[in-house]
Amino acid sequence: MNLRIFVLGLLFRFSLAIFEDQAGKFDWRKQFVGCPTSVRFDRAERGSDRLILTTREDLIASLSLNTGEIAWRKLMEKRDEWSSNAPIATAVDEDNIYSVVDSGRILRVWRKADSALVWQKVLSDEPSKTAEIALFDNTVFAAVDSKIGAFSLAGDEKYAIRLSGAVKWTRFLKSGGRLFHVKLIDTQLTARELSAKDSDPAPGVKSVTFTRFNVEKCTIAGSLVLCAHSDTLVSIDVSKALLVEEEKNTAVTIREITGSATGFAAIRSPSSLKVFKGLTESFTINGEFTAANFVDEKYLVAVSSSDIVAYELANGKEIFQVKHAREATKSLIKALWAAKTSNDWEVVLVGHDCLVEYVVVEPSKNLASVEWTSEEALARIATVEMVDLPLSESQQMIEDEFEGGKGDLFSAFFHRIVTQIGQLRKWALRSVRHIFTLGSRLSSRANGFSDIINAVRSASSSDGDNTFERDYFNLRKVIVVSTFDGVVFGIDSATGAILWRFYLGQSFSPLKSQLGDFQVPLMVQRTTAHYQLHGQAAVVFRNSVNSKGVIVMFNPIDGKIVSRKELDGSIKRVSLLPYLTNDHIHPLLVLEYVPELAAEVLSKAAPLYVLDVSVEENIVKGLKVNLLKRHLSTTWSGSIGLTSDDKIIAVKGKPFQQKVHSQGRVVIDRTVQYKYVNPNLAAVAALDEKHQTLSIVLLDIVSGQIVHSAIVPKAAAPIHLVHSEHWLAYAYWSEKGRRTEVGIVELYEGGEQQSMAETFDSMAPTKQAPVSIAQSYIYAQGIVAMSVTETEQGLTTRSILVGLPDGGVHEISRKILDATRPLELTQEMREEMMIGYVPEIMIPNEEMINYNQSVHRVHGIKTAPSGLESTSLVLAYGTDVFFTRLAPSGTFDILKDDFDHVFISIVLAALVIGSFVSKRLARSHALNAQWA
Amino acid sequence: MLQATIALLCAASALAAEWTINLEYSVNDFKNTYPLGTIELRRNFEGNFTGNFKSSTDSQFGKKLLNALDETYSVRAVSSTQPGKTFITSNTPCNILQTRLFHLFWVSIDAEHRTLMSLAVYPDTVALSKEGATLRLSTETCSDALEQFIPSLADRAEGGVAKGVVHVNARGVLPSPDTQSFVQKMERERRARQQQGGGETDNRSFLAKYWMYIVPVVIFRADFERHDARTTGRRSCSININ
Repeated sequence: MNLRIFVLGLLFRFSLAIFEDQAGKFDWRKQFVGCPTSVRFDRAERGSDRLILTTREDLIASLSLNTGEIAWRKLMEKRDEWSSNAPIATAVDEDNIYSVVDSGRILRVWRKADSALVWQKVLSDEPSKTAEIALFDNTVFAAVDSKIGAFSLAGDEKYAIRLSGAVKWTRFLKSGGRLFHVKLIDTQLTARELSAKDSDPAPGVKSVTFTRFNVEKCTIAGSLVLCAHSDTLVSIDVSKALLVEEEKNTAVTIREITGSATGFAAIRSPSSLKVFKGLTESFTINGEFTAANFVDEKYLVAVSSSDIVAYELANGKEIFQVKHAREATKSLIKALWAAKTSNDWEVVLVGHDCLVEYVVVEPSKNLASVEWTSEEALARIATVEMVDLPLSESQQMIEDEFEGGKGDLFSAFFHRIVTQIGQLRKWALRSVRHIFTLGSRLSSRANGFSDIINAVRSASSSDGDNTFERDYFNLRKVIVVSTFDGVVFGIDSATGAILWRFYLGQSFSPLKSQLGDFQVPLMVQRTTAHYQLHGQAAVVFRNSVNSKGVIVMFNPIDGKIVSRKELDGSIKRVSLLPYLTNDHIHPLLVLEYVPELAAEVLSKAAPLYVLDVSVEENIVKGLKVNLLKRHLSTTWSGSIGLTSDDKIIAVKGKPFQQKVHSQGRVVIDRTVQYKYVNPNLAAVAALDEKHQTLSIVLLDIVSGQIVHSAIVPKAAAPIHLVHSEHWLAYAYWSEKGRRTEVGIVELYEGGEQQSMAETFDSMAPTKQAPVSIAQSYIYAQGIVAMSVTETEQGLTTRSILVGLPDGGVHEISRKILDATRPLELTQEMREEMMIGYVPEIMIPNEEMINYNQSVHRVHGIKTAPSGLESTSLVLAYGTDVFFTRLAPSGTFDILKDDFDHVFISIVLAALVIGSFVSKRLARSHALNAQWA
Repeated sequence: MLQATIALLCAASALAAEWTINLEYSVNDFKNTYPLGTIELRRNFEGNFTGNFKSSTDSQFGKKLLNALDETYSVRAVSSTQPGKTFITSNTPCNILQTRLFHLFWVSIDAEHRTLMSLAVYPDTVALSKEGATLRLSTETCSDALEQFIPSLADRAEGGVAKGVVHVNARGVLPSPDTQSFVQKMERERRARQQQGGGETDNRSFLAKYWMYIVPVVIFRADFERHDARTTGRRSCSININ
């Protein structure tokens, strides 16, 4: 019986899935490939021409050359280092792409046309720092730190050469029908000739001590290994019997060096571009070029801040020089790739801001036209904020009316009349516009009654698309995004279109947090609620030249920069102060820099406390910020139980605007269990990898009181935390169960009375110690990101959003992830709709909020409330970006999408008319009856 | 006899403190420090730790706090099990004065390793000067709240000494998914269903079990045959029917 009810219960779970016709209605997805590290032009005999890219996001992609759309992309295993700028080693032949991926562990071969995996071979079990691949004489050569492998094109291993030593740099070099492998260990450069035969021939290994080797500024040009050493060019000819170092002074400061297979080398200096053939200078082009590359081994294409130029290598003749001016909001070009077709030149430009531009240059017309651009910086989003749109004109009028409420009766009346006339005018204008659009639509495609009805409907719904103002339910927002590449974007949440963007400058570099991860903090200082003033947001970063902090303040609606402030020192921490200045701005608190605030603001301000974590010593401190005296004082400090083995992984506080609607939970015996809602509570998670223990500490930042602390034995990374209201959800990998587990800790007040019901104060104890209830569940998937929904009043049951490795975003209702689910359900509990404890959280496909729109490598999920209590806005970002609206408890305050306003109005009108008519008829009938 | 032994054991365990935490206080950010007392931690029969505060302040303790109303009352703790590690906590002197120098020491410990994790000092609201009074936390109202309390401080000698209770909060272990009890529950339910359905194993014979199905078939068959015999007797065209 119980089982039947349980199964029935499972069937009646919240159906959160969207309907088929709702797909894409209020959600959108953008797919990215990341900043290109190598580009190849692929001319297909059949079908469209493509670009084959490898990118910093460790993926191989093929883009359509005409449109820039992604034809296919393959996500590889992430490399171990965070910012590996070296491209994935790839080689291409007619049909296939050969790649060494997963930090040099695997050799994979893909078919170019459809990205099918042709074959793959394991190269090494250990990760490599360097990896190279070459195609030579129908053989694939792959070199990693520990091995050179030779494979036939079908994937059979011909032979392998074991290597040892810490390789700094490695390349394959083809010269005069011979293939060499060159590697550098310490200062020893070793060249080995390889053969395409079925077995390794006698090793022809030569080596030389090469002290002036600089990994960043070395290349291969023909048979030369060419290195730049300040203003000197040093070369070693590998094809010669004896390796000898030769050098040549170039008389310029060498910034970058690019080599070609025919032995040419382009040397970029701040004021010129010199082309060398071996160590002999061929020609010089003057100009401040930012990037240069060879085309077909015959031409050199270079780009400066304003021009694109091309030269013939053989004679140094200029082929074209066209203007290509970049706007101030874009960065300089850092790399380019070009190809020559019969009439024109195709150039792919990649900026420091990861803006990819595809430019077609027509030398005959001296014209460069941008065919398409793609903002690849969005593949590495750092921080997201959602900003309300400014008030509409009519909303402003209402605000105006109530703002000046102190006038006399007559002026108030006059104000009212003016407002209403304004509203009437606006309504009339809108109606006229409606009628015109309706008229034009009807005249263009009215073939029947259904068309007319459809036209009426679409005319009423298409309103307001052009105006950029807040909608009635505040569902449309500006998504402001800061990226790790130093670009800040404003995105329209309705369509995903980029509204504005600006680049933070060449000296941009992200901040490093105390826990060691990189951040580009973005904060909204003033929302658009104050309609007389513009909104203001701030983005904070580090100047890479002098390591000092920089704050850029801007208007989040149009992206105009308000001010840029260079600080005197480096930034340790930055946060928004919970006070408002006279112009409604939340000031920023930057450690060690304290903002100057008016004494008036400070006198009203509550004392401010900051949690400081010293990762090296594992000491946690509470600091009191005295803004008047401008100094920090320690209020408490301690180890909070962390040993030297523990590594702090996450510290999660609560947002200061968070609202908790319900203060208590009604227990089954009709008593109320009050939530322990301490706004000063922070959760600290520390992992001891040696003993495989995860410590979770919930502590009060003001008093240093540990409200709850516990360990999870046999736990390992990845750890994710979500801290909200009175609960903490955590996810970890359980070594014991070999699975991911999700736990939840809920805190309740000890007694039946709520202590400190009005305002919470951390300086006084609660009457009884808080009680914690904990439970955990099996989660049959890995977890890459975790977040929680936010709604306007906090009334709606929250949902936990979980990013899965396969690209899904799973919504788990708090009713499911609940610490108080009873194992045994009694009749009363069933009446209360309680869900019995089941140790596993199911992952049904209907609960994926992004249905089949996979978002890969999600590293953050941002949620924001909308004007509707039921609806939360969600942006999941990783390599892809996905936005949707979410109703965690169903759309209880919205009419359904297919609610037929027109039909119901017609029926209502017909009923009213009918009742009048029948009344009249009845009356005349009664009169007739009396006469009869 | 047994009771006496238990009482003895109790006394023995009560006597020997497992570990102590030494406390000292300051009202000027540790420029001058004074001893506050010690917290003795003992393990009770259930294995949980309980704490006991022993004051070592002089009778001027209250006065010192009174003279430093605008300062911070900081307490520094050193656990006997973790030499060299200090724990700092603070509160306002006003809060402590309002509760007649009664402290609540919130001690978080790791019982397994016998280490102190953190210490927080609070005014003990149970000892508020008046019945039903609440703690006034803002500094402006604090002096008003103290007015009724100040005269008694000078009068009563013992009023000047710090007193306190200790709340010990030990580190716990978070549960892992409770598959075992869930499986047991399912097993129990399965058994219960079986019992409801047909009781325990049915050892009755085939006939005894299914007689209610067999009997109607037999009766029907018998009846049909009788009817058949009668019709054959009357007519001889049964072949056509077939």
